[in-house]
Amino acid sequence: MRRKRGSLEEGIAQEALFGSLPILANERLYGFLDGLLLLSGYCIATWSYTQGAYLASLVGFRQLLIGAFFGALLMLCLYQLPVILSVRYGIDIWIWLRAVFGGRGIQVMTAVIIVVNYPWYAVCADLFASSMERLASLLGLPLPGGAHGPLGLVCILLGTLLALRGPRAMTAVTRALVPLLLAVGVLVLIVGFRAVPFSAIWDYRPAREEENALAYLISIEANFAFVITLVGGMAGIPRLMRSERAGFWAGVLGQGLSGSFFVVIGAVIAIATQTVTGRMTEDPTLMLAVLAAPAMALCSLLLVAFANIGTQAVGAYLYGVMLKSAFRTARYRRILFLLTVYACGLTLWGGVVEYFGSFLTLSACIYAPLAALLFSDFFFVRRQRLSLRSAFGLPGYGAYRYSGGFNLVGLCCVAAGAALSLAVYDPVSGTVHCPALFFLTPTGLSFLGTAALYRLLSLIPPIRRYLLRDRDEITV
Amino acid sequence: MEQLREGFEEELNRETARRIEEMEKPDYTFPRRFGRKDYLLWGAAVAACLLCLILGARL
Repeated sequence: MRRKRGSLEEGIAQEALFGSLPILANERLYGFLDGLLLLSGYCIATWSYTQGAYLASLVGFRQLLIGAFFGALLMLCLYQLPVILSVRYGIDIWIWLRAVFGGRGIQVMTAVIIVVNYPWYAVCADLFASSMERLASLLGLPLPGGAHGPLGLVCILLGTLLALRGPRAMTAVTRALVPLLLAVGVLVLIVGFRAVPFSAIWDYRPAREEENALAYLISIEANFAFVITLVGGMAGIPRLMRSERAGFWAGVLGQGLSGSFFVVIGAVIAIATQTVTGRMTEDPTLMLAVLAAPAMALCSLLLVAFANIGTQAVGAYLYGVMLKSAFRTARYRRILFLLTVYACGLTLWGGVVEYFGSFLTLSACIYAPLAALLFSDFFFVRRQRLSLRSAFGLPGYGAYRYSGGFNLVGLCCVAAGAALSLAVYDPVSGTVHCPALFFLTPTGLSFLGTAALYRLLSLIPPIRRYLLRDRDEITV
Repeated sequence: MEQLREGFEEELNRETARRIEEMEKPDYTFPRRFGRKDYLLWGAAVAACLLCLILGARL
């Protein structure tokens, strides 16, 4: 009994770090710099190169620069502002979202988020495998044909092992890794610009059929969709930070600057590779092998490959925390095991990279309404006040039980937001259905439309009473 | 196994309630809040990004 009690207490002590408990102010781990490094490390992965090469197929380099940085920063500034609630109360956004979706509703939503988001980690693992194959080739040790899949699994498993150790271990890794990655990024950029005349990159325009305005809007949409995929795990690190300002700006700048920097690097080397070989590729390992001296390519590939492991680790932790917020008594290890199995299955399937553009916008159909509901609920409906006892589902506090555990208003708004996005643009066929609204981009329109719809519905008295049963329970 | 799980859930709820009570104390210091200057800076950042995106369409 004593041994069981001891392990129970140890388990409870860990729960704060893994999402089931609010983190008190004196338990915070990170200032601005550590938060910036962690969130940069999360974003810096070879998927940025894939995004860069994709953008280069749409627009010229100067428009690409503007879209990659300012598009990302704009969308991050908008949808990540509610992250201040995570810093304030030491909770994940999914604890707040119990008020928006209901207790069972957040379980459904988090499961949906995992299904649509985890393909990112298959992209990561695929590119890690390509990096390792290229490295082996550079070293004169070509690998057998069937090695690609197992190499991808290695990336996922190593990331999972790091995630099992929790945020302190990940902090130690990212403090060393991220500055190195940024330095390598600068070197790779120099390689790209030195491989071809400057004007070949600066004046680059893609050969395409769409008119420039439409292609520019599609590229902005791709930038919005690229960063809004971070919404599910956006609060995992800020809830461990010491001030709201640091929590917000670490996320926006870490993800908006570092992530975008590597997108631009991907575009530069894709353009340079096309100029040298006549063919654009999204494979960074091939790009570096063509453009750089072997030793340089070796260092770059090695470090970028390890970036993918870091991303796997931070991503597994953040989504583990997300799921623990919705399934409070589920064990963190068991959750990580399920996430790992899913990621491995997607990696072995291999279809995610092929459908990258469609995958981005399809997944944004869910993220944009989700982010909009959080924003609208936090600032306009609940005005930054929440019943923490009901949000954590404590016995006797049922303000967020709604209809059998589902907030029908919130869930209908998600569906409406997704429908709005698809009504304007079909991401699978690339067809614009409504040019008049397309200038807002499908993600931007879905975000604004869902936020407005939820706010307007909350003004109708019966719906307002349905949503705001928690006002008598507010204590902080 | 079921008993252990229920025990864990009870402990979790007890600890959650304790932490919320801690936050409700008058002397609890919350992390420094996003202030007026922060919102102004945020607004300026949003406006600047939007302007750059609009100008980018003219390139």
